[in-house]
Amino acid sequence: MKTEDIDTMLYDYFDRSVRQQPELIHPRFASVPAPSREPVILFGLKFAAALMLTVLFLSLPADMMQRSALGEKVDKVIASQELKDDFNNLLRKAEELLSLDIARKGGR
Amino acid sequence: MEDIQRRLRTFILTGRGSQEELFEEIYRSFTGRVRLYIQLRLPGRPDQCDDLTQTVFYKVYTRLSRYNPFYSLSTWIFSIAHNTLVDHIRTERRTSARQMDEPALIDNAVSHYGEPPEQLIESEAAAIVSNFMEQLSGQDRQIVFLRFYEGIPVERIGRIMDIPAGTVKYRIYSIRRRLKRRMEEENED
Repeated sequence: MKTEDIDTMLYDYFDRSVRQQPELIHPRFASVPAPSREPVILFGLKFAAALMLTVLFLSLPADMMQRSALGEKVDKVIASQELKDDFNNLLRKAEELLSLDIARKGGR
Repeated sequence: MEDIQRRLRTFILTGRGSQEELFEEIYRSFTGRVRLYIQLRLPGRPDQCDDLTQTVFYKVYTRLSRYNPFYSLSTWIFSIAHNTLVDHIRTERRTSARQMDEPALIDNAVSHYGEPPEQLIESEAAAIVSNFMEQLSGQDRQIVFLRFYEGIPVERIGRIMDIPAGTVKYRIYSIRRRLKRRMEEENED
């Protein structure tokens, strides 16, 4: 006896059993709310958002790098300008103090 | 069958088609098969089999929009049927353990499958197969049903029943061999 014959006999056995199954009354799930389409819509929205983010991510890096390099330069310039201003202020104050001292000595 | 799956895929992805009609078709196509799958594990309890079958289709109905259209429909439905059945058996076990006066339902125990109607025994070979099936465990009957009647691949049967594919493969091999031997013995007599 071949394996295929065994398989066929098993199939036939279940075929008879399935045909023997009683007809079940169709359940009317009238009180059950119809499954919402929300999961599908949510999936679509998430997919679209992910796609947009990917496109943005792929297109932005070069630009962002340039921006950050420029920003560093600006920061440096500002920092050096602030130092210069502080130095000038100090200088001005020193000059003022010096001139006041001279004036005081001259008055004496 | 493929047509239902294709239309269900279209419905899930595009929203085209009537969900009620699709469910009607799924119900018509699967109800007998799902009921038999349950009956193989719960022989001689027609009312429970009916109730569980209805529960399975209630779940199918309410979860239809969550069905992954790229997954086999029969695997999905039989997975729901299997989980529903396992939940039922667990609940029954807990209840019977509490009551202590009823024997617990044992999964793999050799159980009586119920007498097949006379008219179904069409030949001697069919009678031998029926007798052989009665002696198998409920789980083995389900494996044979999914493999030989539903034509579901071994790996997917493993997923449905939550057992390793290797176990399914071995059991199928063992069942085939035993039935073959039985047939040969009967022919010799």
